[in-house]
Amino acid sequence: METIYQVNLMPIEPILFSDNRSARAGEDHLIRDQDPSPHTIYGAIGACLAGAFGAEIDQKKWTAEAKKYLGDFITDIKNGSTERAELMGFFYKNAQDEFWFPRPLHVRLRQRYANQPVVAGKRMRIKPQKPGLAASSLQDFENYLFFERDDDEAELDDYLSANLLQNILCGVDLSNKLLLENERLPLENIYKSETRLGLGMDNDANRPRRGLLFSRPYRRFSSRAHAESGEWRSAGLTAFYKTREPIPPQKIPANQLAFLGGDRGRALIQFVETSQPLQNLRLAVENAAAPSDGFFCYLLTPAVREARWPLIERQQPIAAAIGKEKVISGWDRAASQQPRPIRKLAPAGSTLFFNWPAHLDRVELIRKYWLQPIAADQFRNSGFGRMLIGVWKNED
Amino acid sequence: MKINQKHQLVRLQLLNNGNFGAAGGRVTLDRPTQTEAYFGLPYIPNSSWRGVWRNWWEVKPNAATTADVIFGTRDDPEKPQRLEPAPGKLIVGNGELLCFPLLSEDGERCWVFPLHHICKYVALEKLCAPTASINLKTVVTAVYAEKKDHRFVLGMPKLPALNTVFTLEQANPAPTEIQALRNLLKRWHADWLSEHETMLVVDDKVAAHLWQCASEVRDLTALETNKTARAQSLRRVETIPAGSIFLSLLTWLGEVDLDFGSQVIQLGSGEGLGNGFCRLAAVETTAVAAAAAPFEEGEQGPRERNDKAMSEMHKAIAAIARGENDKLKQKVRSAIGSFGWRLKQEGWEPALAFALAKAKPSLKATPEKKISDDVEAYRWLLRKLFKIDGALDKYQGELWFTKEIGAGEKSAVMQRWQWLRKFSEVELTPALTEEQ
Repeated sequence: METIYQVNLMPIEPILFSDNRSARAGEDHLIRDQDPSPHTIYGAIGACLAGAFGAEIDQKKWTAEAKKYLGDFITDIKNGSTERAELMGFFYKNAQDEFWFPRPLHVRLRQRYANQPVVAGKRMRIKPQKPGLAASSLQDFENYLFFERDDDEAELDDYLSANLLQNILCGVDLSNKLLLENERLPLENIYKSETRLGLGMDNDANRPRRGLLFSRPYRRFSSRAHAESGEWRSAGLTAFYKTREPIPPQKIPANQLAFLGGDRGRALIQFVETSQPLQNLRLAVENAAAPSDGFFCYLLTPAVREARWPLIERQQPIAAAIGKEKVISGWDRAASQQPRPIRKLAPAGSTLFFNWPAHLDRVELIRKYWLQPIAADQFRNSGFGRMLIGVWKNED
Repeated sequence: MKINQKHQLVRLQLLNNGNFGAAGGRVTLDRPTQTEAYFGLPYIPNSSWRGVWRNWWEVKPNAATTADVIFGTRDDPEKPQRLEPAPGKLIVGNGELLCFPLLSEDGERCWVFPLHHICKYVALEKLCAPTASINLKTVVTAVYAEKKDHRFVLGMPKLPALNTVFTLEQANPAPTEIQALRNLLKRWHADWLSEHETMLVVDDKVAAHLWQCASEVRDLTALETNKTARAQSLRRVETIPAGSIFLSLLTWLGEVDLDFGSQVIQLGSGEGLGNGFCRLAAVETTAVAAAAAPFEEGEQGPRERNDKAMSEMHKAIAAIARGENDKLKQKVRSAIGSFGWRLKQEGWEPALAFALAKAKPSLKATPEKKISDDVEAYRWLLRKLFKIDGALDKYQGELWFTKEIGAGEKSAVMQRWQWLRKFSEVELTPALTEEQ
């Protein structure tokens, strides 16, 4: 019986989420920071669980017990299978253990000057395409997102609270709403960049090697000591992870560290069994479904960009807000000492708008696609393209 | 030092000032030390330490392959790979600040403990000893309490006078938690700090501010072969003061114990200047060290507590002041100041070595050559500090340096020095002339 765990990852030291440049000190050494790939989170949790079953991330060291709970060890991970463990999504949590979600990209923020209050943008409507507007990037769609002109629009790296996300997913009109301190979180409250110097050493001569001074971009996650409990907590990531079978309680790692990102960065890991991930959020959306005009898919995790738009119930989106694509990659140290392939992603927070299909009940659709991948053949198990469902309604 | 469990807390103490070069910079510094992004407190980067250990390990005969297993295979294109590329089984954490020294307005040395780091290592210690449990709820509540322009600090035994941008107030958590906290800190720093010195447990903002007061900046230059300064070589280097203690969490995924000996290691830059030498030891988690002695009722602090030391030092200074040798008075005052400065800047061994060199215990006066006032002043100072009756032993240096001076004795010496300093400032100051 499949079981879902809410997994909290609290980094205890700066974490290196590096791109596909070589980590070898030298002239070609220019690692850059990138958002963690879903593969990274999936691997961190999977390796921790595999360790509890005496297995290692290696085909030869995979045990029967690990297979029972996590599925087969395979190297071709692009094609998904429900016979293997799955990452069902992840998002940031702050040091107060509150969840923070990527901004749905059809919601714009307004702020003219730093330190001014942040306001949700002006009203958005979905309008039928006019011939003159059908530029190349829009011509796939029947409709487009019409925004009133806004000179104060600001590209803030802010994350939104669960409550605010709920309002957005329920189609509440947020135009000109003043966002409260507990509704938005600047990125720097989750982590800050911390660049560290390094140099290549010639250990035989006990002196630095000439020309090998480099830097590495770490992320230091925010942390605090809680006055209520006296306990230390760190900001980090919360993920939903599905195993093939419920893990025996004595095997669930307690007081454990997981390895996260490059350089074997460590994070405290905690597993809590959950039957219905983000259930309150889903129930609120279900209640808002009846009076709406359509639904939208909100990408909780980035999805691999493909040449065609994804289909939901055989329907193409009628409009979308996907922002600028992101690229991720990595360095394949163990296998080939080469960069991994670069993948272009639709960023987390992207939204794709659809009409309700006639043949499926609205509530049923929301439940069917809640935290499911937008494309089953694009690294389903690693957690790419996991979505939440929202509803939209044009006011006029 | 042995590594014999999966997770192990380790403490490091800087024996000299240290600098761990930062990628960022500040306008007034050429080489700031690496600090953490949120609180601005210094730390020892794990890569520095890991590299030194690897180097130490590889010197052993036939240890190159085991070094690859412990520390990971090298990505050195110039050398053939010995093993399949793999990460090391020893994960060394950053050394994060447990405490750093700071002088109060009264010249008393205090140790500043950022509470955030204490709470963090309480959480991490559960990895090493799952049953370890300490509740610091009222300490956190009291120290993190908000009050406009006021900050709360837990001074143990009391809050000394500090020059800060905040108004500091003594925090008052539950006495049982204070005692638990003192026991915890004693176990973490073991006997590397004196129990009798003042400890300050502070919140993040106060820690960041006090660190700015405690960090030491040195101006360095380089010389050409003809002994002139090299052009554009003047630089300002920020250093972490000697005595600072750091904690780190090691994770060892191997099956056999590792032994790194009882070495002193050098970390960071400035090895040639004597910077960055550290001692390190595993923190005992199961065998709890002796509990910290509780404060006596009405106890106000080390100096008030020892009125006998105060009385003795006053008599000693008064005896010098009554004498007619003004030059000796000046030399005594200078020797007292110099000893304290050197103790703070360079530690015990250099301060004692310098004072002994000046005191010249084996030098005897002859009819042709008298003992200079400078030598007399240092002899007098050492006799008073170490309560030596009569002349200094010819082999006094060996007596001091062949055995470790205990924390209690160090504390007592510090206490006497503080009284000497105080009374000499008052009683050995030259009288003003009419012109002045």
